[in-house]
Parts: sequence; C-alpha cells; structure tokens
Amino acid sequence: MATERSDDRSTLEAARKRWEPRFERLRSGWSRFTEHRMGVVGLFIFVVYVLWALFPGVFAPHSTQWVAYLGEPPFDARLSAEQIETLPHPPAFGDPFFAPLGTNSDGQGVLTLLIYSAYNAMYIGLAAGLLSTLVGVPLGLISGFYGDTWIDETIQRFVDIMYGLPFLPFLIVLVAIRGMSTTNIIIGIAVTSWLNNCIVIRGETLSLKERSYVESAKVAGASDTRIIFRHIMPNVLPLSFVYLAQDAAGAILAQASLAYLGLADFTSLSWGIMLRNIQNSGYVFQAWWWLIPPGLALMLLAAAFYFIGFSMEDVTNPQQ
Amino acid sequence: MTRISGRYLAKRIVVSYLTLLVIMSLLFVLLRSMPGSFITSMINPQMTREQIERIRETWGLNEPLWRQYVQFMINYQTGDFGRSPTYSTAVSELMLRRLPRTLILFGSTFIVGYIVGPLVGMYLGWWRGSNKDKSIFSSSLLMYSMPSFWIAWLFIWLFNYHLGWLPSSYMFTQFPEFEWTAFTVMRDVLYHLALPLLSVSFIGWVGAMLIMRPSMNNVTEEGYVFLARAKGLSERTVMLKHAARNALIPVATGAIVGLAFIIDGAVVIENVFSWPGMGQLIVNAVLSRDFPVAQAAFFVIAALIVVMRLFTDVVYTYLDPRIKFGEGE
Amino acid sequence: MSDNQTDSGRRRFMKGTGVAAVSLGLAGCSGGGDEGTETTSEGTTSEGTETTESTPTEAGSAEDIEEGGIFNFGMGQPPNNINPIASSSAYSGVITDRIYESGAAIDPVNFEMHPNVFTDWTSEEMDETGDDDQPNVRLLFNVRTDGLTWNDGTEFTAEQVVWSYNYLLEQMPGAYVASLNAIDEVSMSDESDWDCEMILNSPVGTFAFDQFGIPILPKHKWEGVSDFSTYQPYENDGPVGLGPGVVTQYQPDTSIEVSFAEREGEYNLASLPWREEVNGIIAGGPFIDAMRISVYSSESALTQAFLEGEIDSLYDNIRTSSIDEVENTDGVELVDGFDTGYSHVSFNLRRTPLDDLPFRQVLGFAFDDVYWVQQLQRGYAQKGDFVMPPGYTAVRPETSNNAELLTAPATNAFDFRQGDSPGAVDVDGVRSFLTEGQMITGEGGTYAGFDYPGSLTGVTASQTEPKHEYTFGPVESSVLRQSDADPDQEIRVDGETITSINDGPLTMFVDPPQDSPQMAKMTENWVSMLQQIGIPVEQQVLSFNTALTRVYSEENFDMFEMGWVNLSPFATNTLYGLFHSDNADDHSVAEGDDEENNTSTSLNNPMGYGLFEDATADDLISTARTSLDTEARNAAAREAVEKIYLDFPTMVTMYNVVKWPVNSAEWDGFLGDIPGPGSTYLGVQMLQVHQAGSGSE
Repeated sequence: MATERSDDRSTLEAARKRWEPRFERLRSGWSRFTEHRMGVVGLFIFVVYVLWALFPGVFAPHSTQWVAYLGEPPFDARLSAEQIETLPHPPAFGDPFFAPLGTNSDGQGVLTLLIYSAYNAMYIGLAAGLLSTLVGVPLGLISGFYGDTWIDETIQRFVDIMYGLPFLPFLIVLVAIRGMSTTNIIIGIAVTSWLNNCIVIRGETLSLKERSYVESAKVAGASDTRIIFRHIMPNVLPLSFVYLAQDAAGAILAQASLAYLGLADFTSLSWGIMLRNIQNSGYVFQAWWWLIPPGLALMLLAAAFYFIGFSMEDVTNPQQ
Repeated sequence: MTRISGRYLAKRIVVSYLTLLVIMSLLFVLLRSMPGSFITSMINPQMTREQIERIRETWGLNEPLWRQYVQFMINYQTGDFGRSPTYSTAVSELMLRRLPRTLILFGSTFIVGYIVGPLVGMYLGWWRGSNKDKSIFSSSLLMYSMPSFWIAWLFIWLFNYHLGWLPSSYMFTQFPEFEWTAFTVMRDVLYHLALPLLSVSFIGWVGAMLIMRPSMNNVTEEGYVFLARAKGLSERTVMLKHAARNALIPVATGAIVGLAFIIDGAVVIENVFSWPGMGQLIVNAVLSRDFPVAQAAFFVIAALIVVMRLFTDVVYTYLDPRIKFGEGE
Repeated sequence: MSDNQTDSGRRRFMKGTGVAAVSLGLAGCSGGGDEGTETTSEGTTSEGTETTESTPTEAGSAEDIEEGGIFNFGMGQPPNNINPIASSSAYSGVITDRIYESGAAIDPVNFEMHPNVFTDWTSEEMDETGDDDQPNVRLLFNVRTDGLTWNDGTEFTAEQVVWSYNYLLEQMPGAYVASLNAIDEVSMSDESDWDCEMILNSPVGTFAFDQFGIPILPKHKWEGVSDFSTYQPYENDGPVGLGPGVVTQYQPDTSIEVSFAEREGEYNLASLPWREEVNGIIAGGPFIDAMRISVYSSESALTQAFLEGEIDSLYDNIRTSSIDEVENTDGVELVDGFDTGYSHVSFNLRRTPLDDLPFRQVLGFAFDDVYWVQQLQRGYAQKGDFVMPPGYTAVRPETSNNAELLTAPATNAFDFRQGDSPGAVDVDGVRSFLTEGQMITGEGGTYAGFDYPGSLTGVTASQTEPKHEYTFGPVESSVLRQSDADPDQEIRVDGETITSINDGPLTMFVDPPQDSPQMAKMTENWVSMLQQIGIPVEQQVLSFNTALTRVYSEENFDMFEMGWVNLSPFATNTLYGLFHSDNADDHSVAEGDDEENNTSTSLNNPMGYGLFEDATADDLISTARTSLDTEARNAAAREAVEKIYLDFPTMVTMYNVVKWPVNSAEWDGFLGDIPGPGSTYLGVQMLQVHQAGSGSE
C-alpha cells in the first residue's frame, strides 16, 4: 500500500511530516491528561504496581519462602506447636519477627505475598484487556464500516448471542472445559468481554465514516482496508484505550470473583487467591491484617485502571 | 403515535427467538464438552455394567449426541425443562423456587442503584469539572473497584460480627416465632435484605452514574437547555426538567444491559449471604455437571436478557423522538 | 443366632460409599484431636483425656430426663432431596435417617449389631449353590410389629417388610445395589417360628450390616411408584417411615424441621433393652420435640452461626481455625470423636515405575508427615498408616500383638526420611535405598536410615525382588530442570528416564484448594521433595468431577489424592470394595469408542491392586469375607490390612480427629469418643440429646 520511496531523506521527512501532528497531539494530550489529578494518581499507582510486578524482591521484606519465626530457608528447626498456634500472626515489627502486615496461617508474610502477587494481577489485567481490545476493536471497525450490510448484521447477531450468555457463569463453564490455569482464565475473560468494545467502536465508526476525509479517501480510490485501518482506526484508538483500561479493571475483578468461587489457579500468587485462602482457612473475621490488604490492593489497581481510562476519555473527548 | 412498524417488530421478535435458539445450541455443546458427567455421582462402584447402562438409559445418555440435542431443543419449545439428577425434582419447579429470590435481592438493589446512580450522575454531569465532581467521581470509582465479596465481608464483619445489628444470611427467619402476616413477613424480609442490599448497592449504583454523567454533560450543550436557560428558568429547573429527562435515555439502555450483569453479582453475593437463588444454583449445577439444571438456568437468564434487549428498543423509541425504527425497511 | 449377635456387619454407613463418600472425605479436612481413644471390639471404651463431655453418663435412665425443646442444627450443604433410596448424600441422610429404620442397628461404641425392626434372626447354609458355585444362605427373621407403627400412624406388618424388599429388588437403587445384589428372594416364611425369610446367593458374614441395613419403605406410600428416583416423599404427605421423626417443614435450600413430638402412632426402637446395656447410650428417647436444620452456603457462615448461638450444633466437625474460639466461649463444648475413614494418595500400579514396590515406598519416604500433621493440620489429625482408622481397633494390625496404636515402630515404616535440616528430605539415603535394591517387605532391618522391626501380623509384601534397576544420572527432564528444587541428579529406571518411559513426568492430581486447602499445600511440598531426589513429578489441578472420571472410570492417572469416610467397622466390605481385584478394571474389555481397553464401570480400586501377582491381598480378603467366625474374620482382615500397608498401593496420609461442637449450656447427653459423632452417628445423638440440667447429673 505505502508506495516505495528511494530517497532516505525524503522518507524521513515524510515520516516526520506524517508523525509530527501526532506527536503534537500526544504532547497536548499528555498535558491535558496531567491536568486531571485523578489520572495522575491512577498512573502513579499503576507505576508502583508495575515496579512491584517487575522487581518484587526489591520491595518485599522477605522472599516467598520466608516463614515466620524460622526466617528464610534452609530452616534449622520446625515450627513448634505454640508457634503454629499464634498463626496467623498480627503485624509485627521485629519482635518476634518482622512482618509489617502480619502473616497468614502458614506463616508467610502478608506484605510479601501482596507484592509478589502484583505480577499476576498486572498480567491478567493487561493481557485480558489487550485481548478483548484486539478482538473487539477490529470487529467493531468492520461492523461499523459496513454498517447495515450483511457483514454488520452477522457481527451484530453474534454480539447479541454472546450478550445472552451471563458473564461469570459462562466463564465458569469455559474454565471447567479448559482447566484452571491463568492463561485459560485470561482467554475466558477476553472471550466474554470484547462485546462492549465492539459495540462502542462500531458506533464511533458509523459516525466517522460519514466524515468528509473518509469520503474523499473513498473517492480517491483507497481500498476498504486502507480506509478502515489508516483513516478510521487512528481516530478510534484513543477510545479503545479507554475501554482497554476498563476491561483490564474488569478482568482483575473477574479473576478475584473466580478465585472467591475457587476457580482460579491457586498455585499462582494472586490477591484473589489470598482472599480465597483466608476463607478456606476460616480467618475471615479473625485476621483483619490478612483480609484487608489484598482487597485494597485489588481495589487500587482496578481503580488505577479506571482513573487512567476515564481521564483519557476526557482527554480524547474534551467537553468543556 | 406508533413509531414502530409492525413489520419491524415482527422481524425483531423472530431474530430474538433465533438468537435464543443459537444460545441454547451453543450451551448444549459447551456444557457437554466439560469433562465428567452427573452420572459419575450416581454410579456406585458395586454396580454391574447392566445397572450402569440402565441409569444411562434413564437419563437419555445412551442416545447419540445429535439425538439428545434434537430432543432437548424440542422439549424446550414445549416448555419441558426436564428433571434434575441432583435435586431429583422437576427443573421448572426448581427455577420457580429460585428465581423469585434472586429477583427480590437484585430487583431491590437494581432499583436503589438506578435511583441513586442517575441522581449523582446528573449532579456530576451538570457540574462536570468542578472540584466536587472530581472528588465524588473518583471516590465512586474506588467503590466500583472493590471486589463484591470483599466489601460484603467487611460489612458483615462490621454490622453482624461486631455490632450484631443485622443478619448475615437467608431471606427469612428460618423458623419464625412471630405471627405470619403480610406485614411481619415484609419486615422480616427487609431485615434480612438489608446487608446484602447494602453490599451490592454500594458498588452497583456507580454503573448507572457512569452512564448518566457524560450523557448529562452532553445535553448541557443542547439547544433546548440553552433555550430554557434563556427563558430565565432556575438552574435547578433546567437541570431537572429539561436536561436530565433527555440525559436519561442512555441510562435506560444501560439499565437493560445492567440486567445481564445481575447474575454475575448473584453468583458471588448469593454465596456470601447464603441466599439460595439462581446464582448459587447455576454455579452448583455447572460444578456438579447437572446439565438439565445448568441448561435451564442459562436459558432463563438468556431469555431474560434477549427479551429485555428487545424491550429496550421499544422504550428507546418512546423516549427519544429522534430515533425511529422501521423506517425504510 | 439371637438378639445380641456380634459377628456381623452392617454396610449402612458405606451407603455413600461411591462418590458421595469420596467428596465428603475431601470436605472434612480439618478435625480436632483426642489421641487417647482406644476402643476394642469387646465393648469397653476407655476415655480420651481431653475436654468434654465424653462418654458414659451412667444415669442412662430416661425417667428423670425432662422432655422437650428444639434442637437447632446447621449444615453447610443443602440435602437436595429426602428420597431415602434416590439420594446418596450424607446431608440428606441427616433427615432421612430420622424417618426410616432398618432391620438391624449398629451401636457406635462396641460396633455390635443389635435388633431393631427385626427382633431376632438366624442363618443357615443351603445345599443349593448360586451362579458362582457358592452355597446359598437362608436368613430367617421376625419382625417387630408390637409397639411400632409407621410415623403417620398406619399399622406395621411383616408383609410390608417383604413387599419393601421386593420393591427394592425390582428397582435396584444405586445406593443399595451392593447389598441387594446378594439377595435372591424375600418372602413370608413357612416356618411357624419365623415371620420372613431371605435367600442370599452367597454367604455374607456381615448380612445384618448389609442386607438388614436397608431402609424399610411403607407399602401404602410407595406402591405404584414405578420409578423410585422421581418420587417426592414430601409432596406425598411423607416421608413415611418407621423412624422416630416426621418432617414438618421442608425448604430444601434453607430450612428443614424434623419433629419427634408430632409423630403419629407408636415408636419403641429407642427403648429396646440392648440400648441400656451399651455404655453411654441413653435409652428411651428421643427427648427433644424437634430438630431444626438450617442450611448455610459457606463454612464461615456456618461457624459464625454456631458461635453466635443461632444453632446448637453443626454437621460433622468445627473447622480447625475456630477450635480456639470455641474452647474460649462459654456454654459451648467440643465433643471428641475419631475418623470413620482415611485420607490417602494412591498410585496406578499399571504404570512404570509405579508397578515396583521400592519405588512406591520411596514416595512415602518423601512425604513430610510432620509438616502435614503438625503444621498444616495444626495437630488436629493423626498421621496415617493403615487403611483402617484407629477407632476400628479390632481390625488394626496392632491388635495382633498388642502393639501401641499408631505409634508402634511397625506402623512407621514409611515415615518421612528427614535429612540434615528439618523439613528437608535425606536425598542420599533415599537414593541409595533405590540403587541398592532395598525394599521393606515385612522383614526387620534398617531402611533408608530408619529401623523397622518387622511386620505385626507376620505378613510379608507380595513382591520379593525389585522389578527395576534404579540409577541416577544427569538431569534431563525439563520438569526437573525448571524446578525450584534444583536436583543435581535424575533417576533412571532400567537406564531410561521416567519422562521418556511415560512420555512425560509422573502426574499428581490435586483438588482445587477449596476442597482441600491443606492437601494443596502438602502436594506442593511433596512434589518438591520428590524433585529434589531426582524424580520427575508435576502436579495438575483437576476439579473433583474431572478427577473422578479420570481416576475411577478411565483409570488414566499416575497418582491422586482423595479420602474415604463412613467405612465399615467390620473391614471386610471396605477391603473387598477398595482393594480386591474384583473391583479393579483389568482393562481386558474394550468399551466405548476409544481403542483402549477399558470399561464404563466406575470401580473403587482404580490402583489395580490385586490384578498383579506381586501386589495383591485377594486371598486374605476372601478369607476374611467368607469367614463366619468373628475372631478368624478379624485376624484375616488385620493381615490383609498390613499386607496392603507393605504393598503400598495407597499411602494413607492421615485420619481426622473430629471435634464436634455443641451447645452444652442448653443441651446434654452427647456421646463422645465414637467415630463420626456429628455425622455418621448423628442419629444416636438425636435419640439421646436432652435439655441440660435434667437427667444425667
């Protein structure tokens, strides 16, 4: 599609010309974004979690192998019955051991688990969000572009069908079929959460394709694919980022719900599993230091995604 | 002043019906691709092959899959949902027992959510960009980000475990000592409803707010709002009478879509509060591979969603004078 | 034989033996402990040392007990239905067991069979033989028609018993099929001394437990019911039975009331003379007006309800995490009890190298019992050894030479081989056990650093020589290379890695953690230990239903963990059902579309134990089953139990120590130190629980 050009400089020039306004847009978008304190806060939380996810060892007070009273392996004793009886242990700062958020009933540090679990939540949120965007956006684009044709009709009927399937129970069926691994949960979430993207992008495309520049591209003989991906898609991308952020938040909460129902991969470290474990072992109302942090962590990450998403919506769709 | 042509309506109904059929077929395939079958829980190790065969026969598992499928589709057309192997009762009976309970819990949270949400959304949308908008909006997003079972636990911990004010399970007093009158029953249900209602509504109202806020914001720029202001009407009157009325349209659609998510909430919340409704039923049915119950539960929900979506279209046309369906068809 | 015959068993509590029992075994993973319990078959119960309310309050007389009150009971699962023959759920049993009665009853203290609906019985071998060349047996029995009516007031006759048996023989409900299969016919007897007769197609030493343990159905309700599974007793003014209760409220999802006060007609089974003779049992009940059952959807809600006093007790036991809280709460107590089954990890003997005894035994060496019992179970469990729970002493090998229950060295042959630091396995010791071709066959000696004195009953393992040659070489399997355990060497079986023999590492099926959270942790630990030794093992999480299919009907597995509850105290049925080759699929018959030889049947011996000459206890099990003499039967059972222990097709991981919570401020009369005080023998409790302050002090 893009015609070959022999001259390097002119390529560069052309590229600059082409990208200049986009950079400009990005820059002004960024400055508008930073006007939203909410968005900045969201971004800050997000960055903290990314750092936790990438370098948990730097932030966590212990390794995941650490056990209260015994310290890091290899251990030179076993827990005594009296010691076991004190678990889950409330927050302790050096005496008898250091665990700022206390321990769970197995003697692992809650803060350590919290930090090591960030990776899983990040992975699920981003992967599921990205997947559902990758499915929903192109379908929405195609559906909108071919609005009122059989293509649109087919896609929309398919969306109708998927809408008729309740999200969580359907997810449970999918997980039951494919097994309880994190990957399967991500796929399951994506399969059920692209619908919104598709509908919104379709609506946006429907209005965009009436715009004059699309019309002129059509007159100039550009192919459908080119129009969709070159002319329309860049304009819906910001919107799809907004939805990606929301999908990511939704995915994180969905995984927590699955974990609550006992349908998440329990061998992985995740906040949902931490909450599930407190329920399994029966300390829901006895160990607030174990109950509250994972929920807060989940809430903050989901909120960070929402904050970023809604701030971006404001940026892309300035109202005032 | 019908704005919907009969032909359009008929077409929509047929399409909705076909959608349901496809959903059912899809479910039939999906449920049966799950490993295991309810039959495992009926087979006793001491049974001979003939006895196992007999059980399989009774539950129609010896038929080829396509025939089971045809039979299943025909039965559903005639309203025959079959029998549940785990509850050993007619599935329709089970549904009738469970569905009202879910409707009471989630109907009431739905009403609360769709009163509070649009009101707050209206306010925020009208004053969009103000400090109040910013702080209320971000705190409501925080609420929206809470795992439902977690916040429910916190509420139970506070109101039940600590303060002992409210019950944390069931819909009724199990073995009532009081006299059984309409009033006492109502009071009893409300008492039991309080905590689950609080937990679900705490998160649920935000959804409606999220739709109302931008919608409200959009109409502030509409001509009729400008006109109303020019007429010298008070800000309050303009907001409530002119802007909000029109901004509610997307909320109505959102409400219908929201219905679809009720069952998601039900799955988790009913479990937390020992509320024996559809949510618990559907999860248990899937986990115990009780196909007849799982199918029927999915079907009831799907039918509800499809019908409600059809209904939205109708509501839509009445609410928004700009939309006309069925023209040019 | 007369009223007090003892040499018989009753299979009633195995009724959930199939899947229901398995699932229950999983559900009840925590328990509380009383290690001092010893129960002998002679009927003396020496008390445990801890807390409660244990056993016998001598004032077993009913006269001074004040009647009345409503006992509130909680369950974590709904009963689904109250059709006694269509349901195999123990939660349904909580209700149906109050409604239906059977011919004979077992007492939970001495495990003796006693008259119930049948007043007395006798048996004789006949000349004719059945299909399997075994002699037929005629049972003659009398039916108690005086002082007993159906709970709706209808008169009860011996003809109705005959009808009931014939109805069941025609319907063959799954829950009782094992007992019914042995019955040829039931009819009114021609002999003047006897009301009815039953012909069995083979000798069953435990007929009073098996065939007389089937509930008796009322003809006036069930006549004309063509399919038992669709019958709804509650909708038909029922359920009607011979039991002490009637169902007066039935909301299966939330609440059920069984009333004893509103029962019509007469009931005298709780006042039979034998009840007064059994230590701890109070005759003359039930003393309460009604039992109200509330269903909670989560374990937390259930525990919470008990602590708040909403319910007086709950099904089975309290979870470990709440034991402290219960002990510190006034007015509530924990009734001690012991397990009616065991938790286990079992191996597929059809697969290499699981077909070899030393290899299986090594799997036991790597299982850290201390971590499992002391830390994960918090001491509220007993370390597992034999396939009979410690409460069933008569059939435990220790009884053969008066060895210490559970602690005798011969019960610790497969203890964790601890290395230099606590919780680490002795890699070198275990490796040399394998490479030197050692195995524990029942002879005394030192194995992987631990002394073993020799078997208790004198049996030896079926296998005499190792089957394979084991060596250790460089790590090749990817599961070991990627493992955190980081082994320095990998095992070779006859020169080949296990991964190349089986197209992959050995797989251990684990349940999702909500079913058994501790086992999930334990498996992680165990797999890591095995990997350190150099054995490629990985775990796979499978939902319960999937695992059941893979294990019990396809036998497509390497290793899996599950649990049994409600095993028969007479051992023979359990041993036959779980370890005899009759109940293992030898894969000789192909069924279904796949080419593998397999049957659709779901058999209880998925390990395939007994199918191979070098791993079988068939002879001993058969001896025990057909033996009519109690002592001979128990002796053979003990030998079989120890042989299974040495052959190691299954690794018994633990027995629960049950702590059954009750409201002792308001109620009295609970019977402790019995198996399953709040589950299997809940019926006994309900017949004797009464308001506190009356009677027993």
